[in-house]
Amino acid sequence: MRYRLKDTVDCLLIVTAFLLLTGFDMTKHSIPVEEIQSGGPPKDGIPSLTEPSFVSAEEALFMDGDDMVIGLQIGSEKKAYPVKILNWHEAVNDRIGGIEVLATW
Amino acid sequence: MSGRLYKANVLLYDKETESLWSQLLRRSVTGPLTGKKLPVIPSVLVRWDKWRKLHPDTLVLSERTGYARNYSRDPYRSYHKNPLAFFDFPLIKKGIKAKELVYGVEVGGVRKAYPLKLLKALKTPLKDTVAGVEVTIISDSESGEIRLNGADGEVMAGLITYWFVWNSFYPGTELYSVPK
Repeated sequence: MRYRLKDTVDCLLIVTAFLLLTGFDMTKHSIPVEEIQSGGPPKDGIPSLTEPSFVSAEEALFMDGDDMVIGLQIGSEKKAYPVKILNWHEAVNDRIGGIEVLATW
Repeated sequence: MSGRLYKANVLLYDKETESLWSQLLRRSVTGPLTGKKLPVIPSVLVRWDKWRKLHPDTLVLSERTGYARNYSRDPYRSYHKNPLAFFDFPLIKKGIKAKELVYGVEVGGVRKAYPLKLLKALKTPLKDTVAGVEVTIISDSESGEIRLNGADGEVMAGLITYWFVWNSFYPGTELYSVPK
């Protein structure tokens, strides 16, 4: 009986730990779930940008010449996503020329 | 972001279904959307002054993001400088550092990595053979563009990442070295 109770408690602890660790329903998956690791910050600890705002090149006084950017051109629209901002947000949801794009770093 | 990593590479999640998406694989790997792929739009990684010169009418993502962050500080400075991989990955190839950036390509089912600094130093297009297919890699130092062309001129997509990350996703990958 004692062992059974311990097993149940262990099992509950594992399930709780799993949910706390993941927070995502991974029932369906194409990679080994046990190979998914924590990156340090929790979910949304690194907030992606979903309503980004933009400035012109002249207005971008915070940019230095040697700052790296991801440059994207769709049709006649061009956008630069500075790596120094992407470092803190890792993903930007955006629209260019009517197309939904995700810039991720 | 999900706060999770797969092979030291970030996993994104979508807010509608909470599926996880591998950045490097460009597809969903867990949750309801598992298996769904995202098409890749060609982009460049380039210095701001060069991009601005070529595209004076460009827009730039504003530092007014709604979040209080010090964008002049690189949170990964020590991570970039640390010669060790974030996790213990077996590194089978020598002559390249774990955190050297590579341009990774896939041709005919074969993966190959090209050290980025080698491509950036190219004066002429680099011709190579991958999986028996003749390919040309063009690297324009002014625009930052790196393009992979097949023999028939078709453009294929590559990506830039750390060598140890590329190698852990594709352990059998080839690594380009300058012919002696």
